[in-house]
Amino acid sequence: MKVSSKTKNGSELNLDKELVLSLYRKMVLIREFELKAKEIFHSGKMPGFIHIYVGEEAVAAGVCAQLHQDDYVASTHRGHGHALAKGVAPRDAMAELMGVVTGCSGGRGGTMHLYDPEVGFLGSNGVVPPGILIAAGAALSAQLRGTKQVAVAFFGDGGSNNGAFHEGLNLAAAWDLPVVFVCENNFYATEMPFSETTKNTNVASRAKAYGIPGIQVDGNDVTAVYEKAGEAIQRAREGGGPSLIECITYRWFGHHAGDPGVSYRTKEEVAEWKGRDPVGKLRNDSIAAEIASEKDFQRIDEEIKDVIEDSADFALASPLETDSTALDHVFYSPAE
Amino acid sequence: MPQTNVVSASSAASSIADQRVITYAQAGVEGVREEMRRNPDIFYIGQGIGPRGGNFQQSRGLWQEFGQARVRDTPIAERAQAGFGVGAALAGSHPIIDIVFMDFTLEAMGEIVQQASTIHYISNGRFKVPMMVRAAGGGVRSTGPHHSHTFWSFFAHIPGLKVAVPSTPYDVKGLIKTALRDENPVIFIEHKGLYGTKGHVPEEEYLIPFGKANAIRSGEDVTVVTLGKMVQRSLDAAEELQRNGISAEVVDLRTLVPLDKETILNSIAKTGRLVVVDEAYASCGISAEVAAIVAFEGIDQLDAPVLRICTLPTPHSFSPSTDSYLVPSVERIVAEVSALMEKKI
Amino acid sequence: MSHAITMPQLGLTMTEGSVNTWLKEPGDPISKDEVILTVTTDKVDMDVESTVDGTLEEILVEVGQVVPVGTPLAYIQTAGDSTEDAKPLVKDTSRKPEPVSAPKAVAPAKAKEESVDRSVAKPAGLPDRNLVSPRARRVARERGIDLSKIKGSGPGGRIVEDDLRSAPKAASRQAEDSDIKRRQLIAEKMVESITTIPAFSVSVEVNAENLVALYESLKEPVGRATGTKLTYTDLLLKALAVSLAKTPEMNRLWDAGAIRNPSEISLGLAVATERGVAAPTLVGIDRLSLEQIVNRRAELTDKARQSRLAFSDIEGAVGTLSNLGMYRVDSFEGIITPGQTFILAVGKLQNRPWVADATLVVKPTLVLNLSIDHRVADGAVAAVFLQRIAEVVENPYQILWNSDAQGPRS
Repeated sequence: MKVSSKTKNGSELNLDKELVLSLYRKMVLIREFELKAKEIFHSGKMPGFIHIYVGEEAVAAGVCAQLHQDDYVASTHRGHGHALAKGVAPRDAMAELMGVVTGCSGGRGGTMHLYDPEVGFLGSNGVVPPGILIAAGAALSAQLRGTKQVAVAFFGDGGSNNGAFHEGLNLAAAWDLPVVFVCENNFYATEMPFSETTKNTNVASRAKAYGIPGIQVDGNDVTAVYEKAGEAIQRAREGGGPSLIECITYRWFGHHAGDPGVSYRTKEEVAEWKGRDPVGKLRNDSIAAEIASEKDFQRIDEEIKDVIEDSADFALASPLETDSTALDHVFYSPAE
Repeated sequence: MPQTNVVSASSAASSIADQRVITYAQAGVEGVREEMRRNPDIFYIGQGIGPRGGNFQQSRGLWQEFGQARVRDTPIAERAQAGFGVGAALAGSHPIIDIVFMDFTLEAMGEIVQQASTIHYISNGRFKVPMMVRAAGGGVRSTGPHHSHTFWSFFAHIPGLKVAVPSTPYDVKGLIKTALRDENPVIFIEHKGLYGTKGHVPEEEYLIPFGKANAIRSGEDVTVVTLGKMVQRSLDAAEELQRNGISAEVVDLRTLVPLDKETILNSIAKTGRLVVVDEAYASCGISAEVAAIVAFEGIDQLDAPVLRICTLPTPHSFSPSTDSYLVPSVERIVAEVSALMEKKI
Repeated sequence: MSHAITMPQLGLTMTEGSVNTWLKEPGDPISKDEVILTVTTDKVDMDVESTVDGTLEEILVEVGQVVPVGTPLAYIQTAGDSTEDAKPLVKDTSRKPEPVSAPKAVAPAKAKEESVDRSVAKPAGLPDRNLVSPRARRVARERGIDLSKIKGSGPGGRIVEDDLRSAPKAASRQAEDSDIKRRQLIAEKMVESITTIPAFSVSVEVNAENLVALYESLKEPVGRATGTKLTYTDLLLKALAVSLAKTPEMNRLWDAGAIRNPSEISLGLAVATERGVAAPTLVGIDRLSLEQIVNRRAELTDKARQSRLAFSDIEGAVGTLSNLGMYRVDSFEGIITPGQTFILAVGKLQNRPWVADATLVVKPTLVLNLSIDHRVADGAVAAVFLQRIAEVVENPYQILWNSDAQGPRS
C-alpha cells in the first residue's frame, strides 16, 4: 500500500517494507549512537567535545540511502550521522570519538575527523565549508575517470553564507560535476540565528544564481528526503550536473554537547520541533499505513540497542595510540 | 643572460655539451607534460592555464595536447581550486592546482593547511593527498606588494607539506617530475623572474630527488646557503668575492621540505662560516631555520656569527629604486660577506 | 657587571708583559684610578690602575706569568644592575671595535679597551666565554691549546680558528712534557728499588715441553671461548699464582719495618707501552680460572697501551711477572717494584740442549729468574718458591684443576 505524505513536498513514492525498515534502522542507529555518545561525554570519559545530530537523522538517512558504497560523502563538524548513514561501522565511529587506536581514523581525528575510504566517507570536518569543495573535487575526479560515482556535500545554514559555498557551487555547476549539495538548515549557525545574519534565508533559491536546480524539503520527513535526494543523485549520475537540496530540520540539543541550546532558542521552539520527530514520524506513518508492524520496529530498536552497547563497550575498552607511532603518516611513502 | 651552472648532484645521462638550452618556463612545461603522459590521473586546473598556456607560459601546449577535460581554466576562485584539488586527490586523482601567483595561495590557505596537509596523518594513513600546488613567487620589475611574495616558510612550517623552490631550468624539470610522482601535497614555487632564464636541460628523462641540495659552487672560506632567484645573485657575488681573495661555497637548497641538512653541515664543517641569502624576510624565515639547525647540530663548526641577508622588512614597494634596495643585491651580498670575513661582525 | 683589566700596551713595540706584583686580592674594594698591580716588560715596570669602582673579583694571571698585550688579567665587579648594563644580544655590525693599542697613559687606554664593542652580555664569573668562537674552542680542546695564551683577531678580541693556526708547538710540547714526566717517574721508582730493597736472585732452567703441549692443546678452545688469543704469559701467570698459593710465606710485604700479609694474592704483569713500562695488577689471581686470567690480562694490556689504567688497576700486587720471551733474551734479572716482594723474569722459550737420563737431548726450555726482597724472605724460602714454580711449569696440567684449590692462607 502506498504511503502518501501530507507534508511539504511530500513523497508520492511506493515505499515498501524493506525500504521503510532500512530507513528506520538507519535513523535509530544514528539516534541511539548520538545519545550514547552524549551519555559517555557527560560522564567525563570522552576527550574533546561533540556535536550531536539528534533531530536531523532523516536527512543523513534519506540521502545516503540513495548512494552506492563507492559514492562519496563529505561532511561537517556534526558528522556522526552522515558517517553512520554512509556505512562507517558503529564500532569504528564510537572508537574514534574516544580517540582510541581502533577508531576509523586511528584515534587521530576524533569526532570531527572521521575518515573511511572503504565507504567513500571523505571526512567529517572541523571547518564546515571545505566539505563543499572536497565533495565537488571528488566528483571532478569521478568525472575525469569516467565512472558513474556521485559525491554529496553536507553542510548547514551557516555554511551557505561562506565563500566556499559560492565558489564551490559556481565551479561545480560550470563543470557539470556529479555532486549534490545538501544544506541542513536547522536555523542556527552555532548560536547565531540564520535569519539575523542572512538577507535571503531561502537557501534553495540561491541555486538559481548558479544555474542549477534547487529544492527545499521537509528535512524531518525521511521519505521526502529520500525521494528528492534520489532525483538529484540520479541527475548527477547521468551527467546532469549538480543540485542544491535545502532540508528544513532542527537539532534537539545545543550546538555542542554542553550547550543547553536554549539561550538563543526558546524551550517552546525546541519542544515544537521535538514533536516533529522524524524517527517517530516514519514509524507512526508506516504503522498507520500498515507497511510494517510495531513489532518490526521494536525488534529493530532492540537490535540497535545491542549494537550501540557493543560499540560503546568496544570503544571504552580499546587502547590509546602509543608514542612510538605518533610520528607515523605525516607523509605518505610507497614503503608504507 | 645569467650563466646557469648545471653542476648538480643528480645524474644526467648526456654531457653538458650535448644538452639543449631551453628556458625555465619551457623546462617546467616539459616536466609536467612528461608526467601527464605517464600518469593519466594527473590533471591541471588554474586561471589562464588552458588555451592561453598560462600567465608565464608555464602550461604552454598542455591544453592542446591533453584536452579541456584534463586541463581546465578556472574562475578567480583559488579556494575552490585548492579545495577541489583536495577532494580529487582523496578520490584517487593527482591534481596540479596552478595558483599562478604565490601571493594568491593565501586565498586558499585553509584548504592547503587545514585539509591537504593533515588528512594523511589524521586519517591514520587511510587517505593519501597526492596534490601539487604550483605558483610563481618573488618580485621582478616592480611587481608590487600583491604580486611579489616569497613566504615559502609559511608552508615549510606545516608538517605534511613538501616544499620545492627550483632555481634553474635543469632543476625545475627534475624537481617537478619528482613532485608529480610524490603522493603527498607538494607546494612547488617557481620564480617569475626566472621563467625567462635559460639553461642546459637534457632531453633524456631525469629526476631530481627532494632533500638533496646542490653545492653549486665549491669554496673554502664561507658557506652561502640560498634558493630561488638569489642563487644567481649569490653566484655573481661569489665571483666578485673571489677577486678579493674570498672563496665562497654556494649551496642551493632546492627543497625546503625535506631539507638537506647534511650538505649544509658538511659545508660548514669545511668553511666554519654560514651566510643565508633569502629573498624572503628574515623574521621566522627559512634563513632562521637553517641558522638554528647549524647553531644546534653544527655549533662546534661555527667560527663566526651566522649572517642572514634577506629582503628588508617592508611590504614590497612598487618604486623601482626602493625595490632594488629592499631585496638583496649582489652588492649587498658582497659587502656583508666581506664584513664577515674581515671579522667586523 | 664585570670589567676586565687587561695587559696594557706600554710601548709601540711591546707585544707581551708579565705580572710583577698584585697589590690587591680578590674581594678587596677597588676605587677608580687606584693602582692594583704592576707589570713588567723587557724595558720597564709600570703601575696599572683600575678604571672603575668596584670589587676585585678574580685574578686570572699570576705573578711571573707572561701574557700577550690585551689578555685579561683580572675582573672587577662593579655595582649596578647587570641587566641594565648588559648590552643587547643583537649584534650591531655598524660599529667598529676599538683597536687594542693605546699609546698614552695606562688608565685611559684600559678604559678604551673595555668599551670595545662586545655587544653580547658577559655573565659574571665566565670571563672569556664569549671571546672564543665555538669552532676555535673545539680545535683548542682537541689540540690541547691553552686559549689564555692566544690573542684573538675577531671583533672584541674574539679568538677564531685562524688565531690557533700558529700554535701547534703548544700541542706537541704538551705531549713531550708528558713523556718526560713518565720517564722521570719510572726513574724515581727504579732508583728507589735499587737503593732501598736488598734484592737477591735465584734462577732455574726448566723443561717446557709439557707447557708447550698444554699451550697447543688449549689455544684453540680458549681462543673460541674468550675471543682473545691465549699466550704463554697467561699460563705463566697461572703457574705463578698456583705456586704462590702453595707458598704463603712468599705472599708477604715489607712495610715500614714490619711484615704485612695482604688479604689477597695479587700479581702484577709488566706491559711494554709506547710511553714506558706499565704494570697492571690482577687482583685475587689465585681465584681466577685460566679463562678469566686470559680476559683480564687482555683487558689490562689494552688499557695500559691506551694509557687508560686507573690507580686501582696498578696497586696491591705482591710480585710481578715480566716476560721478555718474545725477544731473543735467554734470561734477565728484573728490578723489584717498590712496595712489592719479588719479580719473576722469564726469557725466551726455545729448543736448547737438555740432559735427560744422562743423555744429551734437545728440549724446549725456559729460564726463570726470581728476584726477591731479602727483608721478606731468605735464600731457602726463595729457592723453595722457585722450585715450586719450576715444578708447576714443568707439570702444568695442575693449573687446570688447581683453579679453585686454595692453600691455607697465612
